[in-house]
Amino acid sequence: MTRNEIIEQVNSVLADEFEVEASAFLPEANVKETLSLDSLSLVDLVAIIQQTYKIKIPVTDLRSIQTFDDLYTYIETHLPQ
Amino acid sequence: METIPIEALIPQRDPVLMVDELLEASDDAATTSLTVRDDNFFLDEEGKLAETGLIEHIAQSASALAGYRALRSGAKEAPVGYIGEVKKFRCFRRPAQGEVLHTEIRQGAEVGGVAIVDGKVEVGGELVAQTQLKIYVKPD
Amino acid sequence: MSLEGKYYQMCSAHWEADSATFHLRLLPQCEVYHGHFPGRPVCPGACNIEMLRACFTHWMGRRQYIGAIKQCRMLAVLTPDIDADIEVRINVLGETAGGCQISATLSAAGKTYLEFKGEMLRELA
Repeated sequence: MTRNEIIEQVNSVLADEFEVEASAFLPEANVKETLSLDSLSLVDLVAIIQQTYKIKIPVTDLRSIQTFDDLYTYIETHLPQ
Repeated sequence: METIPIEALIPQRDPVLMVDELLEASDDAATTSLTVRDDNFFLDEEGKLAETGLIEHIAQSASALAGYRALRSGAKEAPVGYIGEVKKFRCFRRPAQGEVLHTEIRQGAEVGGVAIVDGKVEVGGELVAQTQLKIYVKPD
Repeated sequence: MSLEGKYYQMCSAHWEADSATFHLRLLPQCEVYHGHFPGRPVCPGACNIEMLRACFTHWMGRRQYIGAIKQCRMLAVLTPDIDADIEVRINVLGETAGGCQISATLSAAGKTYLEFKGEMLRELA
């Protein structure tokens, strides 16, 4: 998967799950703020990434994912080969 | 699987103990059972288990899995769990008094003490309810 | 399983057009707290959803059933020692084949404890 394909799919999946316009997903935008995530919905983000890409995001790694760019990069670098 | 008394697995007690037995359990899945008795707290005026009783039963089944995992990793007591969110709940039919519920629980992602749990309830192989819960599991 | 007079007491009910407001008081001596949890009474989320249903049934004038819950968030743990009216607000969002879609909130002392979106049915097997 190319990075652009990842970006397109992630934006579509997140827009659907969290009912937020994908146009709001700017690369430097903060994921939690943009999706209005709290302790309840944060686990939805982890679950949807796990379900879509078969990637388990450990809590320690979660802290390093602040922006959408961070999320795309994390997926890109952890996609099963 | 060796039988573990449900009281060792979940903190709820009568009149709202809504799981009879943990039948099977693994790292992320469990099966439980409950007979709908005439003194069930959630029995409605038509002698059926109310929809909210199904939700409480599924939530306690999820707590039973959390309790099983906690005891296995050396905890002295079952953790207290709260329903944080109910999603995609469907009730197809309310079980009648005397019927036996068999419930399958599957735990998905867990972040910061909040776990996603999918649950479905069957009676004699017929799907009667299903949902996805978020359970706050607070180690005791 | 009428919880009225057991788990809560209805103090007032007002509705017009598509929205209704109820004021309730929790009854701390309800037997549910013997088991939820022993020595540490906490309002079960399922009973709070049951209160919503009972208020909606009261408004509609005939029993209403919970056919589906799209999302019900329990935002904070409610305990029966709360010394405040419980306010339940319900909005009918639209009709469906068997009933209607509603949204509802349960709050007390200015804090929201529960947000509900789901389908209520007039009949349920």
